Amino acid sequence: MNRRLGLMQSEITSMMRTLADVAVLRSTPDLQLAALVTGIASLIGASQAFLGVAENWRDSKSPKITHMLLGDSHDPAFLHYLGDFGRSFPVTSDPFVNNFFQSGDDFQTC
Amino acid sequence: MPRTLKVPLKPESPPTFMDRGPSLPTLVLLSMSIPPLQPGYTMSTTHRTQPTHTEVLSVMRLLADVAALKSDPPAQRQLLVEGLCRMVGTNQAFLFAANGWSIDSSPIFTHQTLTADQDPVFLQYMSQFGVRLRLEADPFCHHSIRSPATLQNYSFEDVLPTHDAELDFPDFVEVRHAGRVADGLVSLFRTGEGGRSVVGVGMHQFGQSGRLSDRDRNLVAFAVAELKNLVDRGHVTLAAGAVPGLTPRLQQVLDRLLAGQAPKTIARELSLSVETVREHFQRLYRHFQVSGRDELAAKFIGQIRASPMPELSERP
Repeated sequence: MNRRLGLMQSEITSMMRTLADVAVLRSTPDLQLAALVTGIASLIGASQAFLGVAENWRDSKSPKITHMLLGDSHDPAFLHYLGDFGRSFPVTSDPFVNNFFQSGDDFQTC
Repeated sequence: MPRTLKVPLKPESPPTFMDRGPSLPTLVLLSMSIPPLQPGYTMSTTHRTQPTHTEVLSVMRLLADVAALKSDPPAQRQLLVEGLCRMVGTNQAFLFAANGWSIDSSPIFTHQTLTADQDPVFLQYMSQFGVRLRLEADPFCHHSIRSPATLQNYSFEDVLPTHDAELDFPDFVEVRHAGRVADGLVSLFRTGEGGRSVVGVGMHQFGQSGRLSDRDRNLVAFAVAELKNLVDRGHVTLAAGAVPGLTPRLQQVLDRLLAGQAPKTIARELSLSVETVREHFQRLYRHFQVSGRDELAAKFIGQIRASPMPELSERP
């Protein structure tokens, strides 16, 4: 278990190389987003990753999920939850999104 | 007696605004954090010798923006040299690529990209570099050809250590001794099949601008190592593209003509008669509507310089 909190230069470099791989795919947005999700998940060794996009993000209005992209491997229960995310229940019912919704920060890691 | 170098150059095209690369969605949910970033690529001058994390990030951001321009190689190269020049804070930067790099054969110069700010004398030298002057007549390239390393970093002290360097590299030393270039460094790397393609990135300080620091050298070395990584991954196109409308044979002759090879040498390499090579020269001059070799070389350099020169994007 690594106790470091900050990133090493090699980790920053790896991350930015991944983002360069993503940037190259700008003409194919679907592939670009897939490369982003799988690339970041691979970098940190996560078993699952997803990227969600919601529009009309305002305090007075519930945002609408426009699309969502999942990583390669899915836990069935989590996949089911994400399937309902933004459809059967509003995105603000998710604790992460709720935190984000209540905050005025543009960029958050929860 | 100093040699006079005359190459007509096209005026620079005005800078144009460039798309900032991949657009970000309204909301992105990712389980990874990064430290706060400074906007843009500009960095402050310090006495450190190793790049900080912030500087590394700025280099990598620049290279990501460069990668995003994959479909537009001239703009890609221009952003690279402009970004590196601004990041390191030098007066001038250039990028060149050459193919056929080996001890036994003269490399075929393919292109070079220069920053907008030029010392006119140095620009003349660069215009001749790889066109009339053999690449190995440049001290940096001379050292690079003889080095087995795939990635090399040189400063003036590395390539001009001896008092009689003028005898070996008269054109380069002439420019430097004219008080034009105070300091410089060049990083070169080999890529492609057999490592026979070479890419060089140079940084120069003119006049009274002072010497480059160890930090500058390390930053450029890191950036060029990462550029090599991008090239090896196919994200940056540095090979010369075929000119539309030319037969393969004319393309071969053009490559060698731009590399400064004599008709006799071209004839020997391509198994043609010298007269046939001269006829190909005339076809090329007619094709590009120029009157001779110098104008043709200037036209190619001008094509690169006349490509859209992107502004470095401001980060939100």
